[in-house]
Formats: sequence, structure tokens, C-alpha cells
Amino acid sequence: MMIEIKNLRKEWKKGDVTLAAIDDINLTIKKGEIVTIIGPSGCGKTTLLKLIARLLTPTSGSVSIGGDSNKRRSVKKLSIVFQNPVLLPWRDVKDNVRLPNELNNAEQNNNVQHRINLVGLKGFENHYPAELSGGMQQRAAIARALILNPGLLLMDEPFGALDEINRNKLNLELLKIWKRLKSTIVFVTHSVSEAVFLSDRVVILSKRPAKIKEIADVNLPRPRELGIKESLEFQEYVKCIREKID
Amino acid sequence: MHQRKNRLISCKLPLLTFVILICIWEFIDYVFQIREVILPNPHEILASVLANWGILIKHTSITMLESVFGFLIGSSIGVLTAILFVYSAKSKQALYPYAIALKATPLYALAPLLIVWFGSGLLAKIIMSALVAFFPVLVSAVKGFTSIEQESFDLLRSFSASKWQIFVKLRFPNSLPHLFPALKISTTLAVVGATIAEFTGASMGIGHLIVNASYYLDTSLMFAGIVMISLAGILFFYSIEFIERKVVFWQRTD
Repeated sequence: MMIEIKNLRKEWKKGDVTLAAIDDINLTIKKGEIVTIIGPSGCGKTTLLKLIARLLTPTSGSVSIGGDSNKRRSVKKLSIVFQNPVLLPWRDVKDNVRLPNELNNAEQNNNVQHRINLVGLKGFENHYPAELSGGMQQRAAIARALILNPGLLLMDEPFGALDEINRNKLNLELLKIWKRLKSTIVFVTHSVSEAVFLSDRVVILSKRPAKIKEIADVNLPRPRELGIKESLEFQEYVKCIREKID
Repeated sequence: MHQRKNRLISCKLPLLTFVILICIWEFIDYVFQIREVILPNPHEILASVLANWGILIKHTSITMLESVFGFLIGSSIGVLTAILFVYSAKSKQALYPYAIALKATPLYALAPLLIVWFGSGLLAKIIMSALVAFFPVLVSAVKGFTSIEQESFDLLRSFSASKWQIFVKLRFPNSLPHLFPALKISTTLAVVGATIAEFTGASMGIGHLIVNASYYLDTSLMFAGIVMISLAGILFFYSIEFIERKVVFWQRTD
């Protein structure tokens, strides 16, 4: 699903003071592309993601998803994965993954088991979130995000709270899932190496108010394996991008 | 298996405390020869309970009937008012400070007034019970409906959930772990409310029985009444706790 962001600006008003969170963002994301957004912490990455998700309304400018720029959130087009898994503790894995179906009266959709298998949670369908490790909870959150076949997957530091081993594992699996489902992914992170590993393009934001400082193409071959991180080329990308972050 | 063993131990210790206290009581009564009118022996109280079993059951049932109805009405209105507050910020601003203030007010002082207004029948007691059961439930329900991470709302909204769906699938279940402790407190308050209203003016109920027994200086019967209403109150409390364990299975508060 193609995304077009034009002259996007978001301000926060606090009393008489107006603070711009993000300003002058122009970006086109192609269908099936993985784009990561990276920048100094607190720069407005999450705000940008929420604007794309239409959880926030822009002060000016527009976001169009698949050519549809109307203000309403449209169903089935996009899903979000947050840094926290945000699973409902009173529902087991199966019922958490099924939640979007219930909210959209899509109960005939029987993707549930398939998505659970896809994220490697087979056998844990009846476990409650409290019985799962952080990594497994995040897997369940990803399965839930995939349930309605979203054309666009928005991910806000989804693996930020995980240890490196889990993080690498999930990065790899995300790429596999992406290859199968062919959805567009916008991924917020503050790990440069994660950004390079996943993306086709890395969008580097400046300090607040966030503007696009630079967009770096990552021309590493796909499919990517973890070994690629040891390559000189990979490290060159990492170094190059790191230098550009404030 | 291990858990069951633990529960047995947790039952045994309070029982042991009870036995020791009864022994001390009997002992003191025996040593100082305290008259029954002042402080009856545990075995005299037990004898009184057995001798007056029929009357005690009748009056306890009436008080419990008032308490349970008062509890149900008061806590239902508490939850409904909380829903109003959640969806209408204006009404919350206008009323919530008073709800908090009233929570700290000794509402039992209203009992004589309620008797004047609603007579000495069951109604005044049910209203008294409902009044005192209402506030803890209201305050906790408001907290339960609102103390939710922004991300959970964002998640549901990103799936185009309606306000009704957000209430049913997020706010309501989220409120339950907050609500049940308040419900448990309200069960005990409801019993106290009903009993105090009975002290003020009644022809039935355990409060009436205790006051009446005091006129005849039948201290053993007074204690028997206290024992009965305590046991009924404890039963009431634990039946709500039992429901809590079934409903709020995902969160162990103990």
C-alpha cells in the first residue's frame, strides 16, 4: 500500500506556547517497502507514526494511504505494533489475536491459527499473557496485527524492550513474514543496526521539531540473514547513518 | 497439591488463634468471676445461641435481606454513576468532589432521618445500606474505568473500535480488579448500615434484637446476636471474594 505524506506538521499547544513536534515532512513510501524511521529520542518519531495511523490529526498537511486521504481511519488497511505488547490480560493468546476480528465483525475470518503458527506461538494458544515471556508476548501482538491482512504495518519500536538475542530472532522472522504477506512496513527504532538490517530505506529525523534530515537507501541483498551484520558493507551503512543522527 | 496444603495451613492458624482467645476469655471469666450481665462466658453465649436459635435465624435473615438488597442497589448505582462520569466530563466535574467528600462523611448519622422519612419497615434499612455501599464502589469503578494505558486505547482505535466496544472489551474488564475489593468493603458496610438503622427504629432484625435484649440486661443474647450477624457478614464477604476469584482470574491480589 502506497503512502504519501505531504507537508505534514503537528503542533502541541501548552497554554500560550505552541511547540512543533514535527514539521515539513514529505515522504512517499512505495507498496511493499520497509522504511525505518530513526532519530534522537523524543524527536517525534511516535507522533509521526500516530499521524500515519490517524490516531492523531495533523495541524497541517496530509497523509494518504493507498490513495485514500480521507480523515477517517479505514478498517483493515493498517495495524500497529507498539513497544509494549498491549495484550489484554483477561484474554488468552488465541482471543487476543482474534480481537481485531471481533471489533470489525469479521468473525468468519479464520486466520487466527495460521497467524499464531506464523509467529511461532503454536501450542501457546490457550496461555494467558502473564504466562508468556516478553518476546512471546510481542509475537502475539504481531500475530494480532496481521490478522486482518493489513496492507500497512506500523511498528513503534516493537522490539525495543527485548534482549538482543530475541530482538535478532524477531527481526529475522519479521522479514520472513513480510516476504510472505508483502505488506508495507513503517518501522520506528533507535537501533541503527536494526534499521539497516530491516529496511529498504532509512529515514533520519532531526531534533525536535522533527524534519527529515536525510533518507538513506540500503541496497543490501535480500533475503537477509543475521550473518550479514558482520559484513563490511553492513557496517559501512551503520557508520554512515549513525554519523548523521544528532 | 502444594497450594491446597498452603490453604489448609492458612485455615489452621486463624482457627488456632480463635481457640486460644476463647480459652483466655474463659480463664479470665473464671479467675475474676465476672457476672454474666457484664461479660458472659463463651459457653454461656453458645448456650444462648442454641436456646434462641429460631429467633436468631429469623432476625439475622431479615438484617441480611436488607443488607444484600442495599448492597445490590448501592453498588449498581455506584457502577452506573461511574459510567456517567466516564462519558460526561462535565457531570464528573460537577459531582465527583461531593462524592469523595460524602465518602468520608459518617452517613450512619442519617439513620434517624431515614426512619422519619421511610418508616420503621425494611425500606429505610435498605436505603441506609445502599447509601453506605454506594461510595466505595463509585470511587473504585471510576478508577477502574479510567486507569488504562493510552496505548490500549490507541490499539482499539486503530482497529476502528466503537465507543461501546471500547467499553465492553477494555474499560469494563479492566475495572473488575479495582471493583471487587470495593465490593467486598461494601458488603461489610451494608451490614453495618442495616444494623444501625435497626437500632434507630425497627420491629425486626438483629439490631432490634440486640437493643431489645439490652433492655432486659440479657447480655448473653446480645452477644449471641453479635455472633450471628458477624458470621452472616463474614459469609457475605467471602461469597463476593469467591465470585472475585472466578471472575478476576488473571490477577491474584492476595
